[in-house]
Amino acid sequence: MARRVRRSRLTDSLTLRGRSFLAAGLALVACGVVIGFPDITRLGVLVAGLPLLVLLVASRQQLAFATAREVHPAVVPMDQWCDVHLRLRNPGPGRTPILMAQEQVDYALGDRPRFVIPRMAPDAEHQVSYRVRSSVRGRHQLGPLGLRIKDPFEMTLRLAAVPGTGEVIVLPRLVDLSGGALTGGLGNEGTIPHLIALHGEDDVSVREYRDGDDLRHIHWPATARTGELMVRQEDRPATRRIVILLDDRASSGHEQRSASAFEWAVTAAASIANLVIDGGTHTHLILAGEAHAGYGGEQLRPERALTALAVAELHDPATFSASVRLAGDAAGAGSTCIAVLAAMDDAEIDAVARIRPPGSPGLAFVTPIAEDGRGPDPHACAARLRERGWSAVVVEVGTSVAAAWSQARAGSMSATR
Amino acid sequence: MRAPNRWDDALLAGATSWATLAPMATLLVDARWVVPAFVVSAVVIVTGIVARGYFRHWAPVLALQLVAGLESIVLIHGRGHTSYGLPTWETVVALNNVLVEARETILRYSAPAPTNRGMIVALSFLALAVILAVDLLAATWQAPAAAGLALLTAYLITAANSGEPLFFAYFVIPAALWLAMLARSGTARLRRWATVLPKTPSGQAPPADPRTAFARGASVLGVGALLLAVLLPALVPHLPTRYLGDGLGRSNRTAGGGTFSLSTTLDLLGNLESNSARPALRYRTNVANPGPLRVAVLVDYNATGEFRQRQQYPATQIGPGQPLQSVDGLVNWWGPVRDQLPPGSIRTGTLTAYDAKLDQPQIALPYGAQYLRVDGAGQAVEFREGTVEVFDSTSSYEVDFAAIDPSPQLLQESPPWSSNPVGFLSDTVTPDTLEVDPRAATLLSETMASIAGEAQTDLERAVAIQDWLRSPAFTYDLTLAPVVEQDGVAPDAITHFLRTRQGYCQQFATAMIMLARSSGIPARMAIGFLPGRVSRGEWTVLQSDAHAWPELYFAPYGWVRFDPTPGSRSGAAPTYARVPTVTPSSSSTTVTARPTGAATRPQDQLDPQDLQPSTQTSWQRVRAMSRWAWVGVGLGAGVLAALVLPVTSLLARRRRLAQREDDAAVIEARWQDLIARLGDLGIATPGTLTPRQVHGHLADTAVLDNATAAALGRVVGVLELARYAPPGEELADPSRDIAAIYASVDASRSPRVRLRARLLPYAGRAALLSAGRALAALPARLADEVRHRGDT
Repeated sequence: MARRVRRSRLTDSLTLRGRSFLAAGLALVACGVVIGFPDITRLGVLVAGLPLLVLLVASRQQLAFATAREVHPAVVPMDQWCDVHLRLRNPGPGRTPILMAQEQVDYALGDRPRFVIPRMAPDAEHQVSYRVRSSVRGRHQLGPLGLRIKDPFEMTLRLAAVPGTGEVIVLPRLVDLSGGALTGGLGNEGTIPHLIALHGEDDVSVREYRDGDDLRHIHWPATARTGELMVRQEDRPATRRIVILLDDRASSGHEQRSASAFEWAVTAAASIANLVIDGGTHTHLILAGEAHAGYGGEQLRPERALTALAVAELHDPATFSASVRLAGDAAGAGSTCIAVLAAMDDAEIDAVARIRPPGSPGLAFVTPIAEDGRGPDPHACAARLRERGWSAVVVEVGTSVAAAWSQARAGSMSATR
Repeated sequence: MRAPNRWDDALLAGATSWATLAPMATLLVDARWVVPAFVVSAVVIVTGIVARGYFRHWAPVLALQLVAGLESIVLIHGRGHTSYGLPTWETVVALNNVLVEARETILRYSAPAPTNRGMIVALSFLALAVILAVDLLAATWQAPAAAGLALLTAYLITAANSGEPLFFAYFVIPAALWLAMLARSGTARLRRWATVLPKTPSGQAPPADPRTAFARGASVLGVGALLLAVLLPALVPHLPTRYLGDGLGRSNRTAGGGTFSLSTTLDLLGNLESNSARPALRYRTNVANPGPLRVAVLVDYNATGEFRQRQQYPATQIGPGQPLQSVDGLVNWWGPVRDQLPPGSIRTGTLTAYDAKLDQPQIALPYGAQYLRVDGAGQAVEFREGTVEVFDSTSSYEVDFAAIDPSPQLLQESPPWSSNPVGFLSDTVTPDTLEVDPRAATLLSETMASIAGEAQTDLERAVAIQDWLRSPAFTYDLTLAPVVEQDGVAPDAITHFLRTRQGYCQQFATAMIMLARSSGIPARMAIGFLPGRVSRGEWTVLQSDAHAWPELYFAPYGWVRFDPTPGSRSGAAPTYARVPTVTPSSSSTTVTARPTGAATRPQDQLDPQDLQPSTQTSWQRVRAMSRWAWVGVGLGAGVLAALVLPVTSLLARRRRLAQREDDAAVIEARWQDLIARLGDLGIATPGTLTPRQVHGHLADTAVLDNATAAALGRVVGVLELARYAPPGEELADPSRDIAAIYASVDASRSPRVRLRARLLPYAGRAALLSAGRALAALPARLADEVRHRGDT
């Protein structure tokens, strides 16, 4: 059955007021002509003529825009203002009418900014700035620009949207963990315990033997090569390696991951990353089956890590298995492993536990998987991890990141296996 | 001030209201009503501004304005009836009496009506009502578009009083102000829209305020609409004006029905040409020779060659036992010379008219009419110069008359007007009864010199004119001779007639009047009817018997009738219209019996033609229906229209149920019906849900108590059985459960929703739409069938 195509599109843009005026005007004209009162006809022509004139003018209006958005800064910490600079250009052949514009930003960015665009000649530019801020991490869209075209008498209303969007990335919340640096743990400056085998360490440097050096520190491959006694550089502190693993499984078994617990995990991972990256470490951040690390000798920069965490989402468990494998590869000799996990069953716990190289510290934070407490028991997971040498903390409802961190650190200082 | 008082909107609304009320000045004689009305409206506006500053809700504002307005009216107009300035019951009674006077004035007078006390008070009330309504709508409720309705009402009061369009400024100014109110509200919304200001790069000028461009656009649109509104109606043809009510200023251009009027502004030709055998009037009288019946008196002569009626004299109402002024007192003037009158000069009698078809306000009365009794509760007024008008068309009336024919001797002795004599009704001899058309003045004086050169008295001159016009030199013809321009200038009507000597009664009368005026005799025109013809005592006057004749003033006897139209048409001239023979001994000349020319007058010059299109007598009957009957009909039609949809839905439902073959289909139909009716009540159910899903959906969205939920469960169960069970299964009847469900949901809705569900049911609309579509597709279907039949 063929669909009936609506014939009159021009009057679709009439508002209720416009339609009433048109109908009333036509009725008045009919009355005036039939009863023979030219005054009533005049009134009818005036009342009906207004919406018709407006429609006539509106049908000849040109509407074309090009938008460009600049976002300063493009990546913004949570709850901080971000300036968006919107430039409009009229590429079209005609002048644009006066428009009421509303930038349709994501709901999380707050009130939609509204402004009036004056009439723009061809190739004219108009600039507007507005500020947004959000309390929700992630990638937020700015735009498209919604336009309302109204006439001064409010007879017609047309809506349009200018395609073209911008985006702003809001970083996750950072908790101040200072005072809890990993200094008390293993791998501080100067002393490298013998448990940590540095053979094959790529970044060791050697110098000539000086009187008084410990003979155990002779670097034999370099000595053989150069013919002189070379000892390992001791006073350069070894660059710590840290691997941060984020558990982003969407479900465990039949239980759906609770969103609030995941947010806690992201906040924790971001705060920890923010803390340790500052301290001059080689940090590997593993999530969503990808490893984020520095390249070419460069360290991972905090913004990259935080940006990766800002757009973190829940994925299916297969992705997490890939993350675990990557973490195991990245955690070479002597890496501190930090894992923010949700409760999982024993096999998975064992897989995670194997990431930690023997002798390195491992810190684990275990949150429940679902809000109502169903699913694997976090305490059992934590106990199992502790058996395998990790310092595990169970995150209950109401546990702050700072408290969990200090608790985990204390636990790691005591576990010196 | 806690709330916005919107003083600017209020002032603009006040200005618009006054621009709409101002044209009322054309309806009244002077402007004494303006100041009280202005004071009242100022009080209302100021009260509104102050009250809006304190109250956010509209009701206290309106109440305060109403109280202030009424109190100001009481203080201005009813000060003598108040106690300490506050109105009492006495005030109400006094104001009511004054308003009754206003009503009388409105019904009786045409524009311009006198500005008496009643009109002033009524206009103050009107101003109060209009200003209150416009202020409430425009300033308090911020709905200027709706304020247009109140302004429309005020405007129509002025506009509807005459079929001619008002002077265009009276329309353009209020319309422009109203458009300004509309544009203001639109521009204000623009102002409130922005939350972010644009950024100007340094070095560039800041962009112009978009509001001014908006306002400019609004003014362009408004001007365009106003121009269109002024120009377009002038080009569109309008049907003749129909008035829907009585009252002020009915213009004479009404469309006739079975009744008609003698044109007092245009030519009588229209009436003369209509000589079908349609009677204008039938009457009986006890006088053998009734004279012509007069309808109106015309004095003003305008440039296009027509006499126009003027109503400058005050009108007095004719009471049942009151004699007409134009006759009352005449006897006193004739008293001293009564015995000099020849016998038979005074004719008294009674004329009973029936079957009169003259449209109000015209009525045909014989000369000397003294007492008038109109059938029904009709009222009549008499103008001083002698015209009588009735308020409602009357088809039967009775007149007692005492007509006095003056004798030629008495007229001969009448002093000329230039000597300022006193006489009966001498105040009706105004300067324009001596006005001559300046274009014809020379020709008139020349003609007078040639035809009445030796005349010494006014009577001799008048008789000379009359005889000359009745002579064979002139031809009576309904068609005038073609106009011949002289030096590129068309001659005026009088000159044309005097040269071509061809015309009908109007031209003859005009010529005599002008000739008389040019020789100093006051003269005016009378229009009416010739006596008609009699058969078995009943006189019949046809429309084509319409006639025009001059009246000349002879002091002290008043206005005297003459008839210059050739006798083939008008019969013999008045008997006194001759120069008396010099036989002073017998002052009583035998009066030649006036030939009953009416019976023998040839009418064959006038071919029967129809003037007006065949009458809409049925329309006339419809128009005669009383106004209350119209209101009742309108209300009944409205009620019927409101019931169309519910009745249609009911019928559609019955038909659907009746068509079903078996129980399962019936149950299905009832289920669909229930879903549709629940949709009317506001619970929309998507059509794609299974019954169980619908159950869940209804349980969620509608507020169902336990019993209803159970009923719904049962209905769903039966429906599933009906749909999916093998045929022959026994099905319970779900109608009671369905009714219970509907009643329960209905009870939980608001009254407005329930009313809407009853008056605008979806089922009714769907049925009407499908019927309409089937009807629209009928031609195509028929064409298809014809084509197929042609193929086979």
